[in-house]
Amino acid sequence: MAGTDPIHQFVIYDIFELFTVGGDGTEGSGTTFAFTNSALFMVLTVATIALFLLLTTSGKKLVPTRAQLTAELLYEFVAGMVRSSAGTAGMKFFPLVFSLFTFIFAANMFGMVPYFFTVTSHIIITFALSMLVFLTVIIYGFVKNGPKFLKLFVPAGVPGYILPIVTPIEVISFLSRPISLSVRLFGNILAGHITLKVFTGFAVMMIAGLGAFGWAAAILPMLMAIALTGLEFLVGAVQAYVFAVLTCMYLNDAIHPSH
Amino acid sequence: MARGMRIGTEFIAAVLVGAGLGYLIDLGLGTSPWGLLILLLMGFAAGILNVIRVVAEMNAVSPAPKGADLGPEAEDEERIEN
Repeated sequence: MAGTDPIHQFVIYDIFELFTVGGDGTEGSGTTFAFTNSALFMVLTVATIALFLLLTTSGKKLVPTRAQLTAELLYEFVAGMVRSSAGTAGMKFFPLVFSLFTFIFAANMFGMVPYFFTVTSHIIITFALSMLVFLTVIIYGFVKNGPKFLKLFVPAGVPGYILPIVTPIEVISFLSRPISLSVRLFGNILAGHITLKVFTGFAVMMIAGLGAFGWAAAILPMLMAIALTGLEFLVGAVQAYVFAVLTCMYLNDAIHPSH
Repeated sequence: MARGMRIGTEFIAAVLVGAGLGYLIDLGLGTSPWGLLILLLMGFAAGILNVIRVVAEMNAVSPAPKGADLGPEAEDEERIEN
């Protein structure tokens, strides 16, 4: 039935084509890069954050206005998170964590608006974000600590004869981080949006199929959908927070590699 | 629910990474199926390790209230054995 397909909301389509790489110039050859609806909402997300921060901090009053206070609270929130998880040395990564947190948070909130596309419901986006964190940790860890960074894989106080077993396990545990980080965000958002669509789809189907009785029965799935909408706002905020906190903890490993 | 998701993904991701690495080693060295088998088990161990770390961290954030009944202490267990 039209309009009740729960997966349809995640379809990516091209808005306009940008350029083509490779191919022989004929139609359909090479790899075409296009500006998609996903890209549009990423641009919107970044633009909204930038505008919000620029407008709210333009006054710079000593006694802040309400808008300025919101921006300052946001700053203090993320700064407190970085300081408590990664220490004062982690504050050099504050821009990274702040960008990640605001981007995911704003993208999730954008996704809650009807007819809007949810950027974080695609695993390639969340995986790219988590690989950014992962590579930052590895590169910064090696640049700052040199070979000592590998101590991360050798827990302190473990007898030598167990090390051949423990070290591969630690390596796998380390490699699983970007996967769990990306799958968690993507899974939560995807599952939440599908559930929401399924429940509202029930209401549409009942009304279409059962007539007057359907209108009465549709109240039940609609109540569920209302409750789920509230839950989804919570999940969107919590997942942005979890992503940022875990980023801080992984960065902490890069700054202080000993366990 | 966020906590449950966190623990679940930590575990599954480690198993997947272990299996993936094992499969790649098999492809590269032609040692099928030993790489997959051994690294799958190692991934399982890494998953358990991840879960233990996450839960320890959650416990540190919200410790049990004072005077809560947490079951018998380790010393009590020993006394029963002797």
